[in-house]
Amino acid sequence: MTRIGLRLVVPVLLLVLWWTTSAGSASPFYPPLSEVLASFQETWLFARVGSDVVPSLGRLLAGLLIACVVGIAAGVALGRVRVLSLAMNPAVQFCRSMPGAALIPVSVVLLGIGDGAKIGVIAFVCTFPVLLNTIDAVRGIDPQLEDVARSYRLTRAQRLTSVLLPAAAPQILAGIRTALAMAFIMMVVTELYAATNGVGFVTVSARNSFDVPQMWASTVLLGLLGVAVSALFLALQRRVLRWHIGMTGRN
Amino acid sequence: MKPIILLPVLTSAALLAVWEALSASGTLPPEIPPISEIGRWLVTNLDSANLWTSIGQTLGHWAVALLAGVAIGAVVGAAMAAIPIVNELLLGTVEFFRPIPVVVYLPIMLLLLGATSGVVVSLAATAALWPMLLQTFYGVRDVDPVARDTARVFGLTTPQRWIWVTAPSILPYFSTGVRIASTITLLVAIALELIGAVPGLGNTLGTYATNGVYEAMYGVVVLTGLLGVGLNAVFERLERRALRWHASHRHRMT
Repeated sequence: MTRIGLRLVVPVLLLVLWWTTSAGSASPFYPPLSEVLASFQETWLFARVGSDVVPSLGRLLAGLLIACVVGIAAGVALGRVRVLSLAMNPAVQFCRSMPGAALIPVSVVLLGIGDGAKIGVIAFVCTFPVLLNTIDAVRGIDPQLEDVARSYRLTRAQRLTSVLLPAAAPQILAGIRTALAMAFIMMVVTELYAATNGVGFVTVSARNSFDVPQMWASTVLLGLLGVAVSALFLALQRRVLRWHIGMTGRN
Repeated sequence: MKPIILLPVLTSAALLAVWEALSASGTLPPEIPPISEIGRWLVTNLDSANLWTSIGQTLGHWAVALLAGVAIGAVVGAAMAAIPIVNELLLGTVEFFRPIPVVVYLPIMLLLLGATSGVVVSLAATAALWPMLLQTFYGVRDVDPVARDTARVFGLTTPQRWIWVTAPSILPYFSTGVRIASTITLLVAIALELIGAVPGLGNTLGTYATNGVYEAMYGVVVLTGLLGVGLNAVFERLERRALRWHASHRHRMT
């Protein structure tokens, strides 16, 4: 109980500090917390959830899904076929180290400011952590495991779905976790750059119309979404990898 | 030996050739210029002062932010690992703020400070802070208890134990942290320059994109990629040098 109490000290202090310093604030850019909360309730509970939060998260999920499919498929191929990975290595390394944000203007030029461009950028950026982790995981599979599968006469497809992928799953999921964090960043950045809806878009339009409390409220919402998305994924990962945690005795 | 070098080179060349052919034949939209035009732009602008100024600005943001993020992250991480009460106090806060990407704070920071380097540096430093903090935390936690006890038995003082036992054993974690932090800092700096219109490579890229100078836009994208690869290579080399005594690098010596 005291442990939980100690953990809450700093967050509570921060909130109290924010409340007291902003309460009598004369600066138009630093509105009282009470106003921010009022704006939060007005905008985000739940007036604009359907029109802005859902499209944002939808694009995040779509991009991430494409990245997972492409990343895992290409990763298995590159991890299994040495020649292929040798041949593609320079291209992969270069694309991987390209800053994702640098691609946003390119995507807008090519695909416009709709969903396509945003999903495209998110998918491109997220493919690489999944891809690299899959390559690594597939290469690191215990050769004995494969020999056993082969001597039981499992077909190629069976070996892939019931030996290769489960054995690689923990590391692939670690890659997807990195990808998720990147997807969230790209979701926000693409919407700040050019958009017609989404939480980032609301933040920017609040800035352009000098609705400062709403800007703060949207920032708070984005922060909470970031925390929630990450917590949700951790819970999902723990569920998918139940067998692995049980087997290795660690998280 | 030969095919191992030839294969990647030939495949990369083939990929570029396909791009060039598709673009020249008009299969690709005009917004994707042929690779030769991008190359020509890069070569002709390599001595342009403007380009180097923006590279310098971006590297400046990167360096200051990385230094600040690494320093704060290492100190807080070490304190959390070494002092239980600090850990209890900060753990909840760290766990809460870590998943929030720094771009979230950008509109507010732009409002408070304007489109200045200060915004880019402080936010990029925040982004660099988390990997450093975690790596240092796990590094200090992972110090071999036998080594620590031995040092204590030999009567080493606390500062001596930090220098001779803790520091060397957290060095591998530390250097991995710096490498991750460096990549993140560069990404974040360019993203913030682009959206916040703060002078630097990101802003240069945005300007070319809005004005439709596509070969320049792709040229800058290529440059940012090269910058990322270059910085990563520098850190890998530094790490190999600083850790040549460590088990994970020792086999390279022979």
